[in-house]
Amino acid sequence: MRVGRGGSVIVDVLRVLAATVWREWLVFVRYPMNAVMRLVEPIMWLTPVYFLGRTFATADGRLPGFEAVTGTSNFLSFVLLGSIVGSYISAVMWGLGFALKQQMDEGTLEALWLTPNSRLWLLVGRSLFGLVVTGINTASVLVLAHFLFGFSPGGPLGAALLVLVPTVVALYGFGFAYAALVLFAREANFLTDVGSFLIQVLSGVNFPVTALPRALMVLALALPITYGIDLMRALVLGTRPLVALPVAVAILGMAAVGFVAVGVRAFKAAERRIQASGTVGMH
Amino acid sequence: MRAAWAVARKELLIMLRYPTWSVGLLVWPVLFPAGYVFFGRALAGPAGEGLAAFEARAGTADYVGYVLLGTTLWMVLNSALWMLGSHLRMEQWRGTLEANWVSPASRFGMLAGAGAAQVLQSLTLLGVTLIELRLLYGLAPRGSLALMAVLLALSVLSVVGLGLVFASLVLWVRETEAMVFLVRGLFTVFAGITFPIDVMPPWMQAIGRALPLTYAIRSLRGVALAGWGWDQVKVDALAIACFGIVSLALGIGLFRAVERMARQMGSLAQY
Repeated sequence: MRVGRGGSVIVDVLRVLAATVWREWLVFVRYPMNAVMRLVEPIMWLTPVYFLGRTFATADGRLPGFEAVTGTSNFLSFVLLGSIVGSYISAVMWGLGFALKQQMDEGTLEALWLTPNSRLWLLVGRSLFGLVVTGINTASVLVLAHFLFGFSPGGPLGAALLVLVPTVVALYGFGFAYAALVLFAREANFLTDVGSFLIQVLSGVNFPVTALPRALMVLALALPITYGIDLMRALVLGTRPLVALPVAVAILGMAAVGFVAVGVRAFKAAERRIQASGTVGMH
Repeated sequence: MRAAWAVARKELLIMLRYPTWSVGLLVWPVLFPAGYVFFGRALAGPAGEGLAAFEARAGTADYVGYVLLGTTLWMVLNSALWMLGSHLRMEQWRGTLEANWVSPASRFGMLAGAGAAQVLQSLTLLGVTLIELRLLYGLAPRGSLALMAVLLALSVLSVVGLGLVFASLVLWVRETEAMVFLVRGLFTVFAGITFPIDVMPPWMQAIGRALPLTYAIRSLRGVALAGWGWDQVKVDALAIACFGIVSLALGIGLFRAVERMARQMGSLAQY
């Protein structure tokens, strides 16, 4: 990165981040209908899950089958805690990978990359904005779920939010690698749609992964996100965890560091490669 | 007829030109219901502890089949809303709508061609989905296959009618994504794609009863999972047929109105 007028690299980085976040904000508020739909859609997807849960409830509101599997009858909180991570999975896949392809299609990526700024920090700026908007969105969905479905966490939400930090950092590390893949493949719609849905199914956003068939459970247990969701549920709802708490914390910590390191390397490699091949403007 | 055939052929050619559609055709029928099926598995419990409550409300203990049939019909509707619903809008984007409409070919014929292509796509999606569900989830219908075929055909007509209504609305509002999210959201929430609508509060049940998908899902589940015969589904079949006729008529009427409006305002090429 070139040194800015102030001579400080940090000032330059902050300037890039601020400019990127501001641009993302302008685009976001320019389409108010989309902003509203981001709030309404999670509730829409929650409804079939909520009423399916109620179909299995006994007259006194208990869920004997679900309780036998997870240790709790509070299926709504169970699903909502998973959907918090689910919304970050969507934000990473659509906000980093797909949005990069959109910039390619619009023809703005090449122009942006010609400026003397770090491409990686441009991507980090976009991630920061996604983090904040998804956070606000998630909080709003929880409030809406409280009024519509009577959601109450039943345990310390603060502990779950602490677990969310390494989970989300690992996810964004994965997002950098996914952005690299999109730069190469120059196809994002189908990849993002299926990829995002598949990760959400495998990591048990809506259900305990122990309900998966054995072959799929192996894949689920290979995803660090699975442990993040599981740990959040264990802390807040007292469900039976997949692994002991210190093991889950260690997995998440290693995943956060490892995924970011691999993601950054993958993105920089992709950047070098497409600069050499001159394909940044092709789509 | 010539205009209809030309548009139907063009739509199918475009579809075949982008092979990712065929990958989606294979992947989504298996992937989309997976979350609901595995959630159902957890709710049922390792020894089927939760099945008695489900059976009392749904009329069957086969929660997998129950969910699969609902999500299958939802996917057909979703596909029609996206593909047929955005048909006119896509023509507008490509800049071909104005050129086609100033030609002496029948505009309604062109829309009918898009509708025919959608019927074929929906039937293909249904066929592939049912085969995959049989192979991967073990879905085995108990009732008459002929009766299921009749109900599915009526449902597809009804869905195509909705698609035509939607196509005209999208051309008017010029906002495809938000419109699709809104309309499909209505069906997702109220049509009981994974649950019997009786578990919803009364005001939600009333909205559910006003949607054709509710009747299509209920009758198909009855035939496939409980072995219902014609006598038990004839009221639902009649309701689906009526919805189909009304939505087709409404689609044609709206199309004529939007066509007139676009000509008067000269907004055909604006987007």
